[in-house]
This record gives sequence, structure tokens and C-alpha cells, in this order.
Amino acid sequence: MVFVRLYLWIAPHLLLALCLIGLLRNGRYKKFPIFFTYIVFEEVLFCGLLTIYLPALRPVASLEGYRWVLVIGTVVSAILQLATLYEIANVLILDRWYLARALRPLLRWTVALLILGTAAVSATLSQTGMQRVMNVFEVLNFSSSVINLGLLVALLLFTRALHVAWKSLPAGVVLGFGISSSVEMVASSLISLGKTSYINIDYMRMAAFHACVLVWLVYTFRQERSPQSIDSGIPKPDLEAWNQDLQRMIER
Amino acid sequence: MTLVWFSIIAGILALLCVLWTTKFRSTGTRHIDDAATQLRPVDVNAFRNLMDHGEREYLRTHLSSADFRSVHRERMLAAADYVWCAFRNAGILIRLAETSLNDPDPTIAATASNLQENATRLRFHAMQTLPKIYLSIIFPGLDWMSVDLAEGFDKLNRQAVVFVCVRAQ
Repeated sequence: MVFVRLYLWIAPHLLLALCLIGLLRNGRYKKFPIFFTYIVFEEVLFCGLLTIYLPALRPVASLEGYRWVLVIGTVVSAILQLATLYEIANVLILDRWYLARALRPLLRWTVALLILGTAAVSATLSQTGMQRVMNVFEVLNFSSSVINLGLLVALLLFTRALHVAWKSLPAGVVLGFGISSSVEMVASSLISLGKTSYINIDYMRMAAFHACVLVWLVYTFRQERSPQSIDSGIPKPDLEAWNQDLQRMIER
Repeated sequence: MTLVWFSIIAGILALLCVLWTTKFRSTGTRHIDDAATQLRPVDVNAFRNLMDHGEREYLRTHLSSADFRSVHRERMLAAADYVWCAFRNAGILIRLAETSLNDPDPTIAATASNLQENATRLRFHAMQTLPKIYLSIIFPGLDWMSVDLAEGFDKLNRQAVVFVCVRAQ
């Protein structure tokens, strides 16, 4: 079990390092600088936590320091995740003024409603049996996951309704965040129910983050797919038929 | 406790939604040739007539209140059908234009880009118009609708024809 735990903690960060290399090699870090910064931050946080954790194996009491670093890291990470989503929205939609005009208020209202909803639900998540630092961590984790998830669902539905094309990497980033945030949200809620052991929930969280990093890795190294050309897939008689259909529309 | 269960269910539903929408994105372009055959003509003049403020006022003054409500409901349902049709057509044209955005011929790429922008705009406009039409069925007295959509249809149809002609050459 210790091996699985260590694997789920360390392996995703090694894979994240590969993601960083991939982003640097294919130059996509220039287009998504905040996402790149987020990955760098996750790696720095992991190194920091590992440095605190290893000596802490002997005197368990010093885990308090580890947990406070984790809480501060969660706050910074949540801000960077939100900024990454904004970056993706900017690449997809906000540079088209006629869509930006609608999306900006939509995102603003979504965030406002999510903050209100999260504040209400977070109050029910606090557990008396838990240490204060862990309570803070759970509430922060839950809040950031809900806000993240709500924003990315709003963004996905908006772009889906308008058939806005998603490039490979943004889709991968959003899919990864979606998996990780939804599992975090469920995990924080399960902890507050107190019916499942903390260790099992921790495994679930780490497995979700592992899946998220795998998705990012695949999308980082995947070649950008260009849409099918009409010449390759659609015969010329079809073009003529559309032309006639459209001509009819205008003549009516 | 209820809120906690609600957030667990919401988390699972959100995950399914994310997986579904990203899956749809990856398979969408494969079916562009099928989708293209689904383009449906929109009778722009009939739509203009249905949305015309003067027509509505004429009906309101010449019909009893009950008759006007019934006729107005039928007219708005017909208008909604046209808008749905335009919404779908715009979606097909967005994907169709997307296939030519990286065309080596700059004329085709520019036409495709233009078509995509206008089709997105029309689809967005249709998205905004549909709820107004349905609300107008419930509250016939309110006049929230613009006729810009009909102009949008016309412009988009012209651009689509230009695009298809340029592409076929």
C-alpha cells in the first residue's frame, strides 16, 4: 500500500515534468503561459512538500508545517487554475468581440453565483473532529474545485452551443481540470459525510490527478489535428447540391 | 447533509458533462460530410413577415383578444421553427468553413474565415432570439424581438453561396 501511495504521489509529478518538456519543445508554452506557470508551480510545490515530508517521517508532529504549506499551495494553485481557464476562454472566444460581449458577463455571473453557492455549501463541510488546518484545506479545496468546474462547464456549453472549434491542447487542459476538479469536489463532500476513510479518499484524489496529468501529457504531445478538407471527404456533386439549396434560399 | 449529497451528485454530473462535451468535440469533424447534407432552406421573407411589428399590430387591432392570442402563438411557433432551422444551418456552415480555414488558396481561406465568423454570429443571435420568441407566446404584448436575424440570414446565405462557388472552382 505504501508503494501505491508513493507512486500516486510521485508519478504524476514526473509526468508533469514531461509535460513541461513537451510544452517547451513544441513552443506551446508561448500560447498558454499561465498554464505553463501553473505546471511549474505544481512542480515547485511538490518539491517543497517532498522536502518537508521526508524528514517529517520521523517526528510526525512536524506534519503541521507540511499541511500549512499544502493549504497555501492550494490557494495559489486555485488562482492559477482559474487564470488558466480565463486564458483558454481568451484564446477561444474573448478575442472575438461579438462573442466576448456575451461571454464576459456570463463568466462574471457564473463566478458570482458559484462563490455564493460554494460559501453556503462550504459551511456544512467543516468537521469538528478534524484539525483546523485540515478543515481549512478541505474547504479551500472544495471551493476552488466547484468554481473551477462551474466555469469550465459554462465555457464548454457556451462553445458547444456556438460550435466554436477547440484546438487539441485547450480541450486536453479542460478535460484534465474537469476530471481532477469533479473528483476533488466529490472527495471533499465524502470526507464531510465521514463514512469513508480519509486514506481511501486520498487515493481517489491522487488517482484523479494522475488521470488528469496523463490527459495533459497525451494532448501536449499530440499533433494539432487540422479539420478535414472538403476535397478529401466531400464529392463535388454535393457542393453543387448545397449551392442549389442556398441559391433557393436567396431566391425565395 | 442534503447539500453534501447534492454536491456529490453535481460533481458526478459535471464530470459526465465534461467528458460528453469533449468527446463530441473529437468526433464532430468526422461527420461534416453527413452534416452538410442536412442544410435546410429558410424562407427569409416568410420569417420577416412573421416577425413584422406592423403585421402584429394589424392582427391585434382586427382580431378579438382570444383569436389574436391563438394566431400569435401559431405565428411565433412557426417563427421559432425558422430560427431553429437557421441555428442548425449556421452550425453546419461553421463546421464546413472550418475545413477550409487552412486552405493554401488565400481567397478560399479568407472566404471561409468570413463565413465562419458570420455563421457564429448568426448562431449566437439565434440563441438570443429563441427565448424571446417563446416568451412572446406567453406575453404577446411584449415586443422584444428584432428583425436583424432576417438580415443575418440573408447575409449568411450570400456568403455561403460565394464560399461554395469559390471552393468548387
